Amino acid sequence: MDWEALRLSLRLAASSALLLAPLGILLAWPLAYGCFKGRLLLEAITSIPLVLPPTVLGFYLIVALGPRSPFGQAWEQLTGARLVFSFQGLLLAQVITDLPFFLQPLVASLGGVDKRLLEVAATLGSGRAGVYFRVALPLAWRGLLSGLILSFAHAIGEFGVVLMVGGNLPGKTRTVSIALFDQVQSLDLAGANRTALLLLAFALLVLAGTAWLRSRERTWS
Amino acid sequence: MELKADFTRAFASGAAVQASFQLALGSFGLTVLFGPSGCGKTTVLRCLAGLERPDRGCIQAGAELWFRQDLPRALPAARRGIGYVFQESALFPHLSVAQNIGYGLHGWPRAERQARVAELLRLMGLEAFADRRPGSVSGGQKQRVALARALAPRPRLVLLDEPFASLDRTAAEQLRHSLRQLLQALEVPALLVTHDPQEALALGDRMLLMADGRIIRDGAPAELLSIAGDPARAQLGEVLRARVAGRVEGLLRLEVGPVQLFAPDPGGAQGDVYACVRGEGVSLETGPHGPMSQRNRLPATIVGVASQGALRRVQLDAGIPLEAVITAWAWEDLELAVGRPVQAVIKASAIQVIPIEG
Repeated sequence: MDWEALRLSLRLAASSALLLAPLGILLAWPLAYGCFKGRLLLEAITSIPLVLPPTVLGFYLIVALGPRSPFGQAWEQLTGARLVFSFQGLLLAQVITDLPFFLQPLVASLGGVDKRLLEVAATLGSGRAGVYFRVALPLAWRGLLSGLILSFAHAIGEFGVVLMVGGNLPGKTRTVSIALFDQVQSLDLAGANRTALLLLAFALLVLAGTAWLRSRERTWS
Repeated sequence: MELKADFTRAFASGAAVQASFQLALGSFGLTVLFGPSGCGKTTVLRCLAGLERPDRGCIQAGAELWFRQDLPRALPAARRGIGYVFQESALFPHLSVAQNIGYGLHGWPRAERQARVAELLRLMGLEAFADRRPGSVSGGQKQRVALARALAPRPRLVLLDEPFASLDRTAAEQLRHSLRQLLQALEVPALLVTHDPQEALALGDRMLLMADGRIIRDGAPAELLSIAGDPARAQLGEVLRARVAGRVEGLLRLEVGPVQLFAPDPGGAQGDVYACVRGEGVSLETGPHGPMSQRNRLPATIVGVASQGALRRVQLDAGIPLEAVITAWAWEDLELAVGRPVQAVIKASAIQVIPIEG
């Protein structure tokens, strides 16, 4: 068992969820309640990672974050380090990849909040932000939690984007799913079996947990 | 200050709701927006509150412009200072009763906010439930919380959308009884939507009568509900102003103008009330006068008659206006005619007494 890889995966997934939460909460607002022309486009853009092959996404991310891109250069000047093949670069890629996994349950939950409650809050003096943060979001907490769990779990399991953007550097960018790939490559089938079982059990646990949350969505106790 | 509304809301289906009226702000007054279900009452309320944007016209409170068709943005609901109570209380399920009431006091200093919430809990008789979640209080209590929540931020006007419709009769009567007193004590004007003529009579100072998406009349509830041909009138019967003069054997003794009527006691009636007499409960007799001591038997003169299929609606003058609904056969048999003196016998159960609240 590659404990270093597992530790790295957990760190990556936790950091990614932490960064995703504020970003996703802000993006979910126009997606759930916005009535502007670009809403469908925004929905499509934030959902791209769901359908695009991870390698394609990874490729574009390398191009966008690489040392020859304006963003990569600015980063390098600011921090003195490169983004690609680093933990920071991997984290950024992970946040983008995980975004739809966070957004979809949250937006669905927000859409299920009784509209009258939002209207009442408005008549009681809440502006749009007040309505969102004081009423809609607290009532959609199950979707928020589902989103956090799903994006965390997806970050643990992501392979293609990680390999493209992060490479396979032990302790820096070799996550547990990459370690499994290495184990199979080096014919360590017993080790691969243990890693695969761990990831399988984790995935089952996560899906059961989010399914339970969704089943409780309608009730308020 | 006065709220002036003159707007039209057009729907994609082709239906439109058009409203033009003025409401005095700054002092108590309860205006009833009355009409059958689906005639557009709720739309009027939503446009006033800023929850829906009208398509044409103008809404303004004093010098403050809330909506005008040529302005791209209407004043948001949050800044209109209007309280809104929905048919079903729409309480925030994640907040306690006290937190629900305090929701609109967000910017207030802590001590003032707590004092205001405590005041409303007391006025509404909700002290014992302050820390409960809305899910664990009864329907009547929920609606009280919703009312307290709407009134807490001292709104300039409170809009009530059939606030009793989702309650059982007892709870509705209790809330109806305290509503007027409460609004009066807090000096908040209110616009109440209802399709229940009894509610309109019991609560309203003024009535806006709506039909087919338009306000067709504006006046005192008892007057508007007496207009012949109105479906609400058919439901209520003749609406008469009366005084409770005493109680006899479980019946109320009412003084209605020059005559005396006996009617079932709805409980709690005293002083001025409305007595609504349904024509179906009034029968006519000719021939020798019966014992005049007999209750609810009045000498009357026929002043008019209208045919309605096999029925005749007979207008009577018995010192008070009355209507009797009898069969065409009875009309012929009794050889009735306009101008003829008769005796009107009113079933006590056909008289509905509506206490005037407040």
